[in-house]
Amino acid sequence: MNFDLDNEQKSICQKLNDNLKDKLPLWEESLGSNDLKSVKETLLAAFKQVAATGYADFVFGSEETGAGAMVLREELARLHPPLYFSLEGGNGLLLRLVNAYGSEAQKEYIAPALASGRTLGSVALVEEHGNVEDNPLQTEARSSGDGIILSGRKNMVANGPMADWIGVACLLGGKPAFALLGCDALDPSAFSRLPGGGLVPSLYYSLRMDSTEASEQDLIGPFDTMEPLVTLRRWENEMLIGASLGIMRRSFDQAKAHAKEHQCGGRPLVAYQEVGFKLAEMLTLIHTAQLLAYRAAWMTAIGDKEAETLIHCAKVFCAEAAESVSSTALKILGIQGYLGNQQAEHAHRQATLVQIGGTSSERARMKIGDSVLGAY
Amino acid sequence: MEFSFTPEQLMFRDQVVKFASKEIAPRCSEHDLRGEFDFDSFRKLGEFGILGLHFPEQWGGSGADVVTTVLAGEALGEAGVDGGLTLAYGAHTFLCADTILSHGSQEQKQRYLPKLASGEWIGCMGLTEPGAGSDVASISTRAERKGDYYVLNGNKMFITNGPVADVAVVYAKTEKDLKRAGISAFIVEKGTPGFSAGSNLIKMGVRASHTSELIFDNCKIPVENRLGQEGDGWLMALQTVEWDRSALLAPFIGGMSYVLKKCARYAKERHQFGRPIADFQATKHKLAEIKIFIEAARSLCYRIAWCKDQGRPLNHLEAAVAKLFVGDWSLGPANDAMLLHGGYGYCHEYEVERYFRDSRLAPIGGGTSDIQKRIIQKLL
Repeated sequence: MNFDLDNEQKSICQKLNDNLKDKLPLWEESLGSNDLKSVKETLLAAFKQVAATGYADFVFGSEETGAGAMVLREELARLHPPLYFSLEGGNGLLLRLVNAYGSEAQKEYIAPALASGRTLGSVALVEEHGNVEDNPLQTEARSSGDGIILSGRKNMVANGPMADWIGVACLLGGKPAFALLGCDALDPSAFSRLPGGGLVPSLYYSLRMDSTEASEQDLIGPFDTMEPLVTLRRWENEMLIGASLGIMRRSFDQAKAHAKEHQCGGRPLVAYQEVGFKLAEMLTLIHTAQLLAYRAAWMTAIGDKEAETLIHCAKVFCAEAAESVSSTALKILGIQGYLGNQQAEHAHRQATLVQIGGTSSERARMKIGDSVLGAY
Repeated sequence: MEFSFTPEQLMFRDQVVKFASKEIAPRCSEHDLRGEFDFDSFRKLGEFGILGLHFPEQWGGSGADVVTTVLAGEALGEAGVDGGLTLAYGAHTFLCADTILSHGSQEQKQRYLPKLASGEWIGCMGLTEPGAGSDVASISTRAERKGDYYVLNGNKMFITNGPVADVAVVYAKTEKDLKRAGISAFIVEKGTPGFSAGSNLIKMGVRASHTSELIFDNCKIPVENRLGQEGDGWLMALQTVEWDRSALLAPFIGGMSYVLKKCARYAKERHQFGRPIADFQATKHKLAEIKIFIEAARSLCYRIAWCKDQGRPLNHLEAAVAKLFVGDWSLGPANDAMLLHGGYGYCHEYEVERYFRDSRLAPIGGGTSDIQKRIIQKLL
C-alpha cells in the first residue's frame, strides 16, 4: 500500500504546469474561434507541449500505469478541460485503440504522430440512435473489392473535421470492427457541430457516413467478441473520471480563491461557516473521489476481478461529485460565477457531460447492481 | 501509488471474518434488543487477539501495523458484528489502551496493557463533559495536586464503556487558567474512592455498548497514575483522533458490506409481480448506492491508517475528511438498505434497522460533522 506519487509522476505533473500554465491564456481566444484551422493549430501546439512532459508515453504507453495515469489525467483536466477532452477523448482513445488492437503497420503510421502531437485523432463510437452497450452497432461496413464501405451516423466525435484519423466503430459481417478513416476520406460537410456542452464550440461533432470508403489495411478487426468495444468504453470511462476530478478541483480552486478575497461585513467570505462549511464539503467530495478513482484505476491495471465494478463506482461517484462541487462553487462565487467565461460556470456544464458520457450514471448503477447480485 | 494488502493481511482478515461470523455475530441481535453489554463476546475478542492487535508482544499484543488493525476492524463489521460491540472495542483499544501504550510509563504499561489486551479488563476514556464536547480546551474537571496525589472533581459525559469499565483514561485541568496547556491525563481504576459511573444511557443505536456519565467527587489519584507530564493531555487527546477516524470507522464500513450482502440475498429471494425484486432497476440502483458508499469510504480510512504506519504526524485533514464523509454520506445507503427490505426492514429480525440506527452515530460521535467541517475550514 502506498498513497504517494512516485518521482516520475510528480515530475510529469510539474512539467504539465510549467509547460502549459503561461501559454493557456494565449491559446484561449484561438480555441474559442470558429476558424477550425486556427483551432487545430492551437490544439497541436498544445499537444506537443503535453507530449514533451512525457504525459502521452506514461498515460497511453502502457495499460499498467493505473493510479499514476489517473493522477496525470486529473492534472491536465484541471489545467484546461477542453484541451483535455480533445487530447484524451481524441488522440488518447485512438492511440490506445491502435496500440491494443491495431496491426504493426497501423501502429507505425498512426501511433507516433498521435502521441507526439503531430496529428489529431478521434474515435467515433456513439451511435446517433441507440445505446452501444445494449444494442448492436448501427453503423455498418461491407467489403467492396480491396476496401470497405461504411454507412451510419455517429455522435460525440471529438475533434470532428479537424481529426487526421478517426477510428469508426462498426459492424462488419455482424462482428465488431474499427475502420480508420483518414481526413481525406471524409468530406467536411459530413460533420455537424454539436452545440452546447460547456466546451469550446468546435470540439464535438456528429458524423454522417453514406457509402464512405476506407482501405482494408486501415481496418482493425473484425472481432469474434464484443471485448474491444467493452474495453473502449472502459477507456472512455477512465477519461471521464479523470475529467471529473480535474473539473471539480478547478471549481474548488476558483471558489476558494474567491472566498478568501471577497469581503463581506468586513471579513473574507471563507470566515463565515455558511461558506467555509461548503468548501469543506467540496473538499471532502474531492478527496473521496480522488481516492476511489485512483484505486479503481490501480485495480484495472493489475487486472483485479472487481476492477470493472470499481470503475463504474468511480465513474458514478466522481461525475456526480463534479456536479455537486461545481454547483456549490457557483453559489460561493455568486453572480460572478454565473457570468459567462468563468471556469466554475464552464465546469458546471462540463459536469453534466461527464455524467451522461461513457457509461451514464444510470447505466453504471445497473451494472454495479448486477455485479453485487452476482457476488452474493 | 498502489493499494494492495499483503497476503498475510488478507489471510488475517479472512480469519477474523470466520471467527466473528461463528462466535460473535449470532449473539449480536439479542444483545442489541436487550441493550446488554456482551461480556463473553468481548473476552472472545481478547482471546482471538483483536483487542491488543497492534500492541507489542511484550504487552500481550501481536505487533500488527495500523493497516492490519483497520482491516481487522472492517472484518468484524463484515462478519455482522453490531455497532455496539465494535464501538466498545474501539473505545477500549484505541481511546483507552492505546493512550497508555503511547504515553504510559513502563510500570503503567506493565500493569494495564496485558489485562486490556486479553479483555480481562475493560477500558474507557473520559474526555467529553456535560458542558464541553469538541471544545476540549473548555473542560472543567479539575485535578488538583496535593503532595503525592491528585484530587479529581468533575463529571464526564457520554462515556462509552463507562458503566462496565475497569479502568479509565481521564482528562482534567491541572492548571485551570490555562486552556490546552492546562490539560493532563490520568489513569483511574474502578473502585477508586470518589469515582463512580452513572447508569447506562438509553440510546437510539449501538445499544449493546454501554454509555454513561463518570463522576469524580474528591477522587484521590496517585501521582504515578498521571500519563506523561502535566499539560500533555491535549496532545494525547488529539492523537486519539486518528484512531477515531480510521480504526473506529472501519467496523462501520465493514458493517455496510454485511448489509449489502443481506440486501442482495433478500432481493433475490423476495418476489413481487411474479419476479424477484432484484430484477427491478430501482433495486439495483439501491444496491449500487450502498456499494459505491462502501468503496468510497474504504480508501479514506486506509489512507489514515497508512499515514499512521508511515509515522506521519497528526493527519488532521485526512481524518476530518474521512469522518465527515462516513458520517454524512452514510445516511442514504443505510436508508436504502431498510427501504429495500420494505416492512421487514423496519423490524428487528432483519438487522438492517439496527444498522440504520447504528449509522446515526457516525455524524455525531467523536466530533460531529459540523466540527469536522470546522476543522477543514480552518485548514483551507
